[in-house]
Amino acid sequence: MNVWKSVLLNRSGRPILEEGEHNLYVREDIGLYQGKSKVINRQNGRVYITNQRIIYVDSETLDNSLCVLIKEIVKLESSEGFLRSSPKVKLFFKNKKGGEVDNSESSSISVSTSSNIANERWICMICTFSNIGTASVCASCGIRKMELKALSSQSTGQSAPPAKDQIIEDTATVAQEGPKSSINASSSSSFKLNACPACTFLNHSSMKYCEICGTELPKSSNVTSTSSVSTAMQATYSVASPSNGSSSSLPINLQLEDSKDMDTPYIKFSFRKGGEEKFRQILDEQLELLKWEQLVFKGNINKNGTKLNDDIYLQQESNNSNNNSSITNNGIKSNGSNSNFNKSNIGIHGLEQIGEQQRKLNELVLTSSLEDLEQLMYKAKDLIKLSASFSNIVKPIPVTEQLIPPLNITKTSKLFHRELSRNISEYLHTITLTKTSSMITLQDLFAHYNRYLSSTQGFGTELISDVDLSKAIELFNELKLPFKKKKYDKSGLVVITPNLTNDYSKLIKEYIEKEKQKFEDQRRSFENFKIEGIDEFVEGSDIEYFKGKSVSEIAESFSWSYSIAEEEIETCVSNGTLVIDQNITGTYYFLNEF
Amino acid sequence: MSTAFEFPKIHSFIPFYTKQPNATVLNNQLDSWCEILLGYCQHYKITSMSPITGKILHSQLEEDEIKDIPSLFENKSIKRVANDEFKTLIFKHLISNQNKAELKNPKSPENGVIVFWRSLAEWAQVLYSFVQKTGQLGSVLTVYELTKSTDSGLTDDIRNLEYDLLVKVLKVLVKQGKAQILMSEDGHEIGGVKIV
Repeated sequence: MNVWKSVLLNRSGRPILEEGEHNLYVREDIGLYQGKSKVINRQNGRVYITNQRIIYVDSETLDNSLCVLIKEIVKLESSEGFLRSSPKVKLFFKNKKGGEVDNSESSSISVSTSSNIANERWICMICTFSNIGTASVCASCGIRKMELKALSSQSTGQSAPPAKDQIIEDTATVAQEGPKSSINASSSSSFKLNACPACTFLNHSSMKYCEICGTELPKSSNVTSTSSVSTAMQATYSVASPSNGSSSSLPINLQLEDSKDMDTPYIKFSFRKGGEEKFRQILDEQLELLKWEQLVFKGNINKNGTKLNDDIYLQQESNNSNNNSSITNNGIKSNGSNSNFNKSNIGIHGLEQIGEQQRKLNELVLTSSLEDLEQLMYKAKDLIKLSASFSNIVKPIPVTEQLIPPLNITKTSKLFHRELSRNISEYLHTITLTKTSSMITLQDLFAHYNRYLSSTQGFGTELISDVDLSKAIELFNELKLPFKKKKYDKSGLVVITPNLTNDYSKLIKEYIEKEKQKFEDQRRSFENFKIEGIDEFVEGSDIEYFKGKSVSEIAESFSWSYSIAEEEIETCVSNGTLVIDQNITGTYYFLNEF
Repeated sequence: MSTAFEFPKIHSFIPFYTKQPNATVLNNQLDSWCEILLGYCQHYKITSMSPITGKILHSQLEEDEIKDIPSLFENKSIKRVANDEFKTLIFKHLISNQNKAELKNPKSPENGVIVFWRSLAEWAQVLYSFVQKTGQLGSVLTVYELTKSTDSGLTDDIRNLEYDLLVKVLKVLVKQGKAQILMSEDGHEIGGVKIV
């Protein structure tokens, strides 16, 4: 039983889709199981659902990526997570020997299968040793089991060699695949024989030319009739199945924890971090869609049949299955009705059809246009990591940034605002308001904090809202945090400041005093130059007199925002600490010397 | 007049040329301005100025000396100049808060203000002592003789005294009963003054 196929990936680690294929869903942190055992080296990857395949892309080794075909899936089953076991979705596959059945039959088949496994025996081609059915190699000589020698006529899927292709027995595919597939072809009636049109010798079906006379043999066709188990449903699937192309022929190095499970007819997707419900839902939809398409393709849909909802769908399906049985052995016949179906675009039915087509087209455009975005989002974490690694080179980080433990609490929790308040306080303490003179406006805090959140926790982070922020800040006092809200009466500007400092005018005064002193020192040294006759330093420089300090200079020196500096300076002016100079170049501030 | 007026340090303080928004500070600033202005006027014997442009309207100095008087409201070394609005404010402050100046004509300020770097009483005293010293008490003197004459031993204090100011000074003397004003024939001008 081998349902796995290799998959081609592009350079960014996403699968290359085939024509007409598009992504539907993607999910991370998924492990693969076959039967009950884990698939080695395929335990951490992401899974894409496309409209044709389920693709597993391993996050460590891209070469380990695999896919399965949706059209081969028979049945889905979910299992809830329990304790340490993650939720899983089981995928049952069609038996490659055509033992595939619809849902009602599958249980009975699997029962009989299990009972047969023990009893079944096979005889080695080489040494004729009679082996137990479950053994995949001969116990005596180690030669692989050859399917042809299976004793049981019951189709079970146990007997398939693991590395073999997963093509269902079918008229068309058998012919295409040639000898290799033909081995699979029949279990009940040993070989399919092909009569030579010239000499009537019954050739092996894999022969292209007659072994006796060398005449070219007709492609083996209509062999389905020989297969006792082929059903209407099977024919339906096989006709519609597009060829897998080259991807299926690449070798897959698949290893299970327990190799016995290699042949179990189902695989499991383990969702380590949830998402199984959505996965299941999408896959269900997709399966249904595929079935529908196949029915349509086969021409089994009534002329005016439109898939509207499940009720109608089910009803029609029952109709169709009736139809199926009647035309089982004649796929060609139905092609006629198919073409009719396409032509009929007249009347209300025609309009409906056009509408339906339009919707499908829209859907296609939307999903395909969002694919790139999805990919970007996928790589977001990596991108942020990458950009962070560059920031070291671009500019030296001014402060050794301490990380604050992120807030792990939901918004609905009662504690949320208190925790947020504490978290903001931590943030302010370690990153923003590190000096006693520091201040930050509410708007800036809001922006910076959210930016901080997204830069430390990735794009998916839930940002805080302004309402939450203001609530959290109201709590500063109650929680005895070292910050407070300060509101300027005149402009209504709200800032957050450390609790300790109150008198900013004193700080500003000290700053300007210091600046003036610095200037005086500088001027003295320049004057010394002048005395020594070095004039060029003085020329054109603004060294003649102290020009005062502008709002932006003060703002910068205190790392305040402009509006804060403006407010504080205004306070200083109104209490007489500072005096202003307004001239054509701007407004400058001086200490009061009047 | 050989020496230039030495401006105080505050004249080189840049914010000095901008009207301060803080009322207390502004008051101090205007006081400083008035102080400088009075000292400046005394130094250059300026008795009247335009309260709008700050231009010197009358000085007791000679014409060519007046040209050399540096501007009060401009400091070239720091590239600052007080604007007209601010100048008007300074003169207003000088007139109403310090009573050290008076509009020549309250209805039209553009006629200029008389700056009292020396109060009217002081001026009256100066004038009286001049007449007394020169032994002209009781005699009638013309305005010309009091301010312009070159041969009557005029002191620098009253030489070239502005007519408007002289009238105010004489009125003070009249009030004190020390002078009598004889009006000219048309009754508009002072014909002569008799100081007793």
